[in-house]
Amino acid sequence: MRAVWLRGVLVVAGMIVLLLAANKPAAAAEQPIAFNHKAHVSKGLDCAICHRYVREQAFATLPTIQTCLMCHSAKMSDNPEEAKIREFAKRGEPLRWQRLYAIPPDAAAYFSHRRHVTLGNIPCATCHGPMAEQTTPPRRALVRFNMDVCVACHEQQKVSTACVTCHR
Amino acid sequence: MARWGMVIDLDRCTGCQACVVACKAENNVPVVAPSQAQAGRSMHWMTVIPEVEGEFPRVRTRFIPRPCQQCDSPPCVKVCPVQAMTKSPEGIVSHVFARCIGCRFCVQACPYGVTYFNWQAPTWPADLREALNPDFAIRPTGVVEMCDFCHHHLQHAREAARAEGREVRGEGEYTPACIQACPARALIFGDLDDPTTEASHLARGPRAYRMLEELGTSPKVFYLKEG
Repeated sequence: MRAVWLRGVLVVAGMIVLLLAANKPAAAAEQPIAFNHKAHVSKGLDCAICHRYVREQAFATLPTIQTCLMCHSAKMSDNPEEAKIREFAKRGEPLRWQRLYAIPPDAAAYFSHRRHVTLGNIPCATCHGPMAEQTTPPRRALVRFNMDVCVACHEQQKVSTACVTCHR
Repeated sequence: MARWGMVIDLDRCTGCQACVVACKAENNVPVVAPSQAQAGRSMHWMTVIPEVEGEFPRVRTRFIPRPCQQCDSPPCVKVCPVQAMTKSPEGIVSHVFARCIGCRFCVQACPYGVTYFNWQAPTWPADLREALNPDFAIRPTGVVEMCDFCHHHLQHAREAARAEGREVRGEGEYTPACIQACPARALIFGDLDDPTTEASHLARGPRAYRMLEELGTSPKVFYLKEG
């Protein structure tokens, strides 16, 4: 009799755990280094120094360890996060930045940074929010995106809203 | 605004199928298993239809390349219940795969048989998988797919033109993959509304005709009769 009772409790507990796991929000992005955007931007660094090719190509890149070492090969501060750079370099380990923005593969949309930043003269903050003010890496995208946001801006800027302009 | 169209000179076509291969490679069109092909499920957005005339020993084969006819009055767009099949302001009929519910109304409506339903998840031989074109989406399974005049080429051309502060040129700048590949120059592409382009000149000529013209779909693909 007791075994039956215990089994019932275990099943209920198991169901609660499963429910909790299902309702848990998607894991927030953890970055390898707690990069301080504000400290860098306030020193006059342009976004394109680390996010190379943002003006020239479809994809904006995330910086490699070599980009960081251009300035940080020697110690610049007592910040332990800065020391991490040289540790990563010493171990020969690449920086595995987590992307916060991604176009859902089902949407099959084509997005080009060059087209928006260079040809459209749209500031980075329009889509990426106040990244320049962030002292720690945000765990989620600062601007929530969906197709309505894209279409609203396209209409405002009088750019084509034909499906094939973005979808491929 | 440009009205893009294609002219196919049947006198020049040798039936080499370079256009078919170019289209497959450019648009990541999957290859289906022989058993599936037997069931009529092979996909060729661009295909060359052979037409054999006469009897042995006096046999003559004609080759008719057939891409999507890019109708000005497209039946596929009219029947699509979810507006996945669309016609852009420049007249290019294309398909938004993310929207398609796979009802296949367009397959029934198209008199040219150029819309294909993909029955199975796409497969490629191992070597080809590394060579897929990143500029064009790989379709989800269970949607209709078709030629859209390599619309992504137009996007690139438009970007280049915009960087120089001008419109896309009527000829030479935007060319679908089949036209780039044609060694016999049987396929000619350009703005049909621009009287200076070769395509518009040929499309107005006495040899030009359109497939199933009597249906009133007004295709933007013109064929030039053999002389």
